[in-house]
This record gives sequence, structure tokens and C-alpha cells, in this order.
Amino acid sequence: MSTYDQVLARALMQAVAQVQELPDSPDARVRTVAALQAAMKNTAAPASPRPAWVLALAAALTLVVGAGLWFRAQPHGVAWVVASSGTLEVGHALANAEVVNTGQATMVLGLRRGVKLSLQPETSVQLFDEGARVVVRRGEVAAEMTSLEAPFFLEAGDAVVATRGARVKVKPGAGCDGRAGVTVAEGSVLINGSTRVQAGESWPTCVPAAALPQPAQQTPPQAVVESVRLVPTKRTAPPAPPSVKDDDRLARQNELYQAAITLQRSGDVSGAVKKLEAVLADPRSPLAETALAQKMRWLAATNREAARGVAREYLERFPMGFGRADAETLVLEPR
Amino acid sequence: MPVDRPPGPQTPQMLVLATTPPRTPLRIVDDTQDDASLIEAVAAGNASRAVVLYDRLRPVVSRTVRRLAPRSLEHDDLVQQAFVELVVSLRSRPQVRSLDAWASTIAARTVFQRLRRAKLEERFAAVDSSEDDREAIVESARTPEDGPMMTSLRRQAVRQVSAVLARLNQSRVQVFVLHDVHGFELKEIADILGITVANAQSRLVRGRSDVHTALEAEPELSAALREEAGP
Repeated sequence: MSTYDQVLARALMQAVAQVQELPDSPDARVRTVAALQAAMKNTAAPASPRPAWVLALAAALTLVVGAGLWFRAQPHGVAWVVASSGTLEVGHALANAEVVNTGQATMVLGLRRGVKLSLQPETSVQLFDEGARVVVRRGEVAAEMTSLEAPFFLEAGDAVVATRGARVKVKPGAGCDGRAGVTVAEGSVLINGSTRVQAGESWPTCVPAAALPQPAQQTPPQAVVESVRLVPTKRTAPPAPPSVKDDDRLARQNELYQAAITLQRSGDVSGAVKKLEAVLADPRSPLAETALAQKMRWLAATNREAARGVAREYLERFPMGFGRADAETLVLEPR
Repeated sequence: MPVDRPPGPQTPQMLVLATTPPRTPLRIVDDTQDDASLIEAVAAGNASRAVVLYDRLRPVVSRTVRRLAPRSLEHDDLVQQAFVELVVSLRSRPQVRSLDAWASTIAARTVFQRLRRAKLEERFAAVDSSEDDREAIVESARTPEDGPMMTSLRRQAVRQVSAVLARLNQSRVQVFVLHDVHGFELKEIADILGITVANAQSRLVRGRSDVHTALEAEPELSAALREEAGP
């Protein structure tokens, strides 16, 4: 049963949806395009990336020459780009909860509390709690800090790494069975509040399958290979490029998602939700998070109770996902 | 509750890898192949693509401005300002992936900045108390088969809704309308209004509750809404 606020929102939504863009006038078009051209010229990015050695030198100088003073001098942001081989400029400030994707570039971030993060290519991190907590979504991150007053937290998959002073490397999916891999070079860290890992040690400590007692049934050779390959102290091979089969699957997912969007725009919300469910039927769908978030939002307009169920599922599957705030709002709202 | 907006800016990276070279994490499922190159052109300051950018995004920017801004504000000026803000934002936020959603957010932010400067923050179109805007909404909401009777009823309903919403805490109503009516995500609303996501979340929950309570006290209006909503 819809509540008054939902019914009102829906009625307003229908009214607002009727409001379309105004026709373009030649005069406005000429003026706006001229303003756009001026803005584009004024905000041009550097034409070519800086050589790696220049970046390294800049990073070293920045860190060595009064890094502490520099951090204190920054009025905004919880972190800054100290060095980057990508499009983000040195000195670019990052806000709380901002997501950083390195793409093909490497990047060094300085955090307000004196923590240095080195990000490898294809790495994605998100900063929380004014830079006191960093979530590593993918890629590889090396963190370096000394004598912090309060612990610094690095989260990757199932691992929560806490430390006040260490040089530590974290890589989601590099540990046993796809868990996060943690390697400590200096100092010590506490993982998940219970496991202490010292300098020179790695976590988790996997036992290669070859060293285990032989089971009654022959283990498939692939399992042995997997187990040995995933020992975190060894560098794993880069992931293979997507196969043609993967491409087909993704294309199919794209089509389903696109069909859902089209149906929703035409007013057929239940049909759109069914298409999203088809996307979600694939347990490995790369669109799962987006589809689940979209399903939650569409259902919120028509069936709040069902939307709450989807919100709970979203929070379980993607506790740090982009739709977290919307999901929490639905779950926590008074009935 | 999106109305006519594309999905939010976040999209799994794998999808991007499947359809574009890995260097451009900029696309989302319903954007065209050209979007990534367009964003790159903006970042590189390639002014010759200004016309393409304008033609590509003018509908979504104009639509957003028209839905949010009071009629008293100059539409074309707001659209122009939104485009300039968009270019600047694309330069500093290269991780943006959905061009439509981002353009819509920037356009909304531009409207609110203008309202704030003119100390008219509470006057965005959906809850505006000015007669001109109410008439404009009624006019926009009219369907060709609406007769004079239906138009009159709609006008009356919009007037009543505006009056109810105008009595409530405007900072909460803004978030309620942006989220539940216009379909912006909380993160986008935080960006538009310059507040934190937690603040937006709190305002939304309280705004919904305020609206619910206010409508319960208006039996005629709530009955009309029920009728409008159907079974």
C-alpha cells in the first residue's frame, strides 16, 4: 500500500515528466557554443603525459621537502595527488567518500594524517572518515605511515587492516580463494581485529594443495594449480583479456539492461523490473550492482516493501556500493 | 524514482572493458561510443567539439533547467551557464562515466546556485508559490485530450499541493522533490545542494515524513491523490 508521500511524489513525477526541453533558438545556440569554446580553451589539460622520471622526482621532492607543512597548508580535501602519470594533476584535492580510479596510470596520494598511498594501474580506492579509512575495491595499493596517533584502516574484500605505523601492501583477490592478500614490509598490522602480521609476513597463509594429505578422491589438477598460484607472496600473472565468450555475455547483459531502461522510460516499470531480474539472474553479471540499485529505486515508487527487500539484498551484496545511502534510507525509514 | 534520467554515474568497470579500450573508464551502458571521445576532447581543450557537445547534451540540460528553475529566471542563460560548468567539471572530474546523468546533475546544481545567489532557494519550480510557475506546470502537464474541466481540476490540485509543500521545511522538501520526484540519487543531491550525503539522507527521511503528515491533515487532497494514483 502506497503512503501519501509516495502517491504525491508519483503524481508530481508524472506532471514533471511532461515538462520537456524548450526549442533551441539560433541566437542562444551561437552564444552558448561560443562560451563553450572559450571554456574548453581555458581548461585544456596538458597535451602529453609527463615522463616517469619527472613524476618520480616531483613526488620525492614533494614528500621530502616539508610534506607535513604541505599537508597542514591544504585548506580542503582529505587527500591530494602527490604524483600521477595520468590526467589528475599534482595537488588535485580529493574529497571525503570520493572514488579514485587510476585507469592505466600510477598515482601517489598523500593523506591528511601523513599516510602515503601508492596506487598501481587499474586500481580503485575510496576514501572515508576524513582519510582515516581507505577501501580498496580493486588493483593494488601500498600504504606507508609512521607513528600515527589513531589507527589507520585499509579495507579490501574480507580484510580490514589496522595499523599505526607500517609499510603494507594490499591487493584484493590475491589471497587464498579470492580473498585479499596483505604483505607487510615494515612494522606490523592487525587484520580483522585478531590476526597480528609482522614485517616480512603475508596474510592469509595458504597451504599449497600439494602439501596437504591426499584426499580419497583425486583432486582435479586445476585445483592444485589454483591453490599454488594464489599464495599471496607470489606475484600473480596479469588477468587475461576478456574472451569472445565474455564479450558475448556482456553484450547480452548490456542489451537486457538497455531494454529495462527503455521500458522504464515508456512507463512499464514492472516490465523493466523483469528485465533487470534477467540481468541479475547471471550471478557473475558485471551489471549486478547497477541493476540491483536501479531495481530498488524503481520499486520504491510502486512497492515500498519490495523495495526494502531489494535494498537489504543490495546492502548484503555491496555494503560499500554507490547506492548504499539510498538503500540504507529505504531500510531504515519508518513504516 | 527516476523520471526520465539515465542510470547513475557508477557502472561496473568490466562493462567498460568489454566495449571500449581500457584507457577510457568513462562510458555507461546507454551512452554512445562517442561519449568517451567527447569527454576526452573536452579534457584536451579541443574547442572544435563544442558544437557536438552542445547538440549532444542540450536536450538533457534544457529539460533539467526547465523542470527545476522558476520561470522568472532566464532559461537560456541558465543553460549556457550549465554548459560552462559542465566543461569545467569534466576537466577536474575525469572519473565521470555517464554523460547524461552528470550533465543533469550539473544543470541542477547551476539552477540551485542561481537561486541561492538571488536568495530564492526555496523557489524551485515544483514547490514554487508564484502564480506564473504554477500555471506553467499546469500548462506543461496538460495532455491534448484535457478539456477545460480537467485543466481546471489540475490547476486546483497543483495549487493545493504547492500550498502544502510551501508550509513545510524547505531544505527537506527540496531533497524530497529532487529524490522522489526528479529521480536524483542522494550522492547527486549532495553535489547539487553542497551538503553531505548523510545530511541529504536525513533530510529525505524527514521530508517524506513531513509530507506524509501534512497530507494526512488534508483529507480532500489526499483523497484526490488516491484517485489520481488509481487502485
